[in-house]
Amino acid sequence: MLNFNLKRLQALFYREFHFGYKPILKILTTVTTVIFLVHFAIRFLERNSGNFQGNDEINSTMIKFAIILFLGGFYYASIAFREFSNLSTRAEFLALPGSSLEKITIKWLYTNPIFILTTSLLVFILASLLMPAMDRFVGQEYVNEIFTSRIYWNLVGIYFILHSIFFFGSIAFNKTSWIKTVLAVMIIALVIAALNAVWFRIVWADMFDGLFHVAEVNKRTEFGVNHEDPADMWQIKFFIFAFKYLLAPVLWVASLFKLSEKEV
Amino acid sequence: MISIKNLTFKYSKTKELFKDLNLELEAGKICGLLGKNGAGKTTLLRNMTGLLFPTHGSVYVLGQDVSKRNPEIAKEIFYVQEEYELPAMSIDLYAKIYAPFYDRFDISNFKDLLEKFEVDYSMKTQNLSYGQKKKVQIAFALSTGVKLLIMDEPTNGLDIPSKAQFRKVVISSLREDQSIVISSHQVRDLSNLLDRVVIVEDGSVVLNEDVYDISSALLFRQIQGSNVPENALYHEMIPGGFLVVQPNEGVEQSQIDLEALFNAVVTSKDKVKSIFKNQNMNKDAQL
Repeated sequence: MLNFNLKRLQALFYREFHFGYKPILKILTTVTTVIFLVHFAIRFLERNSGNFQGNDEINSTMIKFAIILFLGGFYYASIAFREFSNLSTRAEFLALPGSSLEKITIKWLYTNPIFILTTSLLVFILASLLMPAMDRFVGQEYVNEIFTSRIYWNLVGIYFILHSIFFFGSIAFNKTSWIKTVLAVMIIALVIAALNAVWFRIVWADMFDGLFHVAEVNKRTEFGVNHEDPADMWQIKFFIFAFKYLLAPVLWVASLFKLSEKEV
Repeated sequence: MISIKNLTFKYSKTKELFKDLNLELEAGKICGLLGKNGAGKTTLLRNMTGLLFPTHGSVYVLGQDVSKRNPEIAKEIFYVQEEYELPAMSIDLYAKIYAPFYDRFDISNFKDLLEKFEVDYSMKTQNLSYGQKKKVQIAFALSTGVKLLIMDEPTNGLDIPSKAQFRKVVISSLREDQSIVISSHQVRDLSNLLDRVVIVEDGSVVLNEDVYDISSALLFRQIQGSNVPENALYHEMIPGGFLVVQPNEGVEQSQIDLEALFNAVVTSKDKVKSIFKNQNMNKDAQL
């Protein structure tokens, strides 16, 4: 399961480039270009209408980047193991000389860092080509945010973590893993929320005192009586820590085990 | 080469397909795996390649448990599936993508085999017929140089001249340290190709013998008229007489008819087993 060999890794990388990355790159380039061109055309046609004044146009490149990264990336991650959708390709992939770790590594590389880099470069190039002109139509000065802004790195960080959910779903579900993963996440979230509510209600009953009595304390609207800011609660801090640093590694390891026990 | 010990396998919520199945296959042989539809031939092959895990028991190939999916073992096994759609690309690119996984892959042999199968190397797989795709797959499998080649119904989709070509190519490509396991229900396609015959029936191996031992133990002959010998294990009507399988009581050896052998084993399982048991005991006694 944990064997690692550079020659096999190279062979898997080359195979994945042709079967997974190349078709996605074509679709991604087309979709991104169309989005930018449509936006450019709208701006050009309505350049004198004054419709684009105000905040609507702020960070439009980042909005485009976020949509492409999240929708495209999560879809790509959920078809990372597209071989599993068909019995014969599933057998071919599982029988391929390569350990689970090697196969997971290659799929992860393409759907995570390589996809982030590809999307960023595509958006960066198109934005650099079209946005200065577009911004001039509405009298704004174009400022590139790809690779440089904090929002960009936050988006990349969130994708980096949430990717692991769809990546795991791609191994767990053979067909329509995109929809099944979203549904599974919703159901799991509901169950966790319900269990948490019950657990908190039992263990920290005092926190629920006056929960439904919204009172203004120190000029701030807070729940309950004499309670600390939720951001300072250790439970919330732990949740944020778990999301940032535990979720993805746990799902990567789970993906590794899931792939190892996968049968045709 | 292959050692299967007490293999029990079942798909979830179904009856056991195999129960304590044992099988030993040695290197350098072409082994035919025969069985009725649904007997579990493909399942057994998938257990041999580590694509399915035994419910109980173990499957060892080249001394290692295949369910561990060790890449060092996986690169010594190639599985030609019954139904496999080649990815849409040129044959050349297909070879470039998959060849690096197999240390002993021989590109010139691949091109040579494709030429023998009359498939143009410069073609794209999406422009090939079903039979031609099968030929590409077989040619690639034979060029990998793996120690164990597993073929599931390889002759499906091949035309009559290609079936003969397939037999010729398989025999000429086999090295001493290589083994081939071929599963087929088209037993006539495998005539004169096999060194060993394995028949699976009712979840267990009912016959696992060398063709030499089979032709020593059993006589396959056509008889004129309507008098079927009393000791016939199996007979079927043919124009002008009968095709009969009976115990070989002399030293004469006959050409094995795989279809008749299969039917004889299935219809007279216990008798056939006892014939081979006696033969093996005699062999041991002579040693």
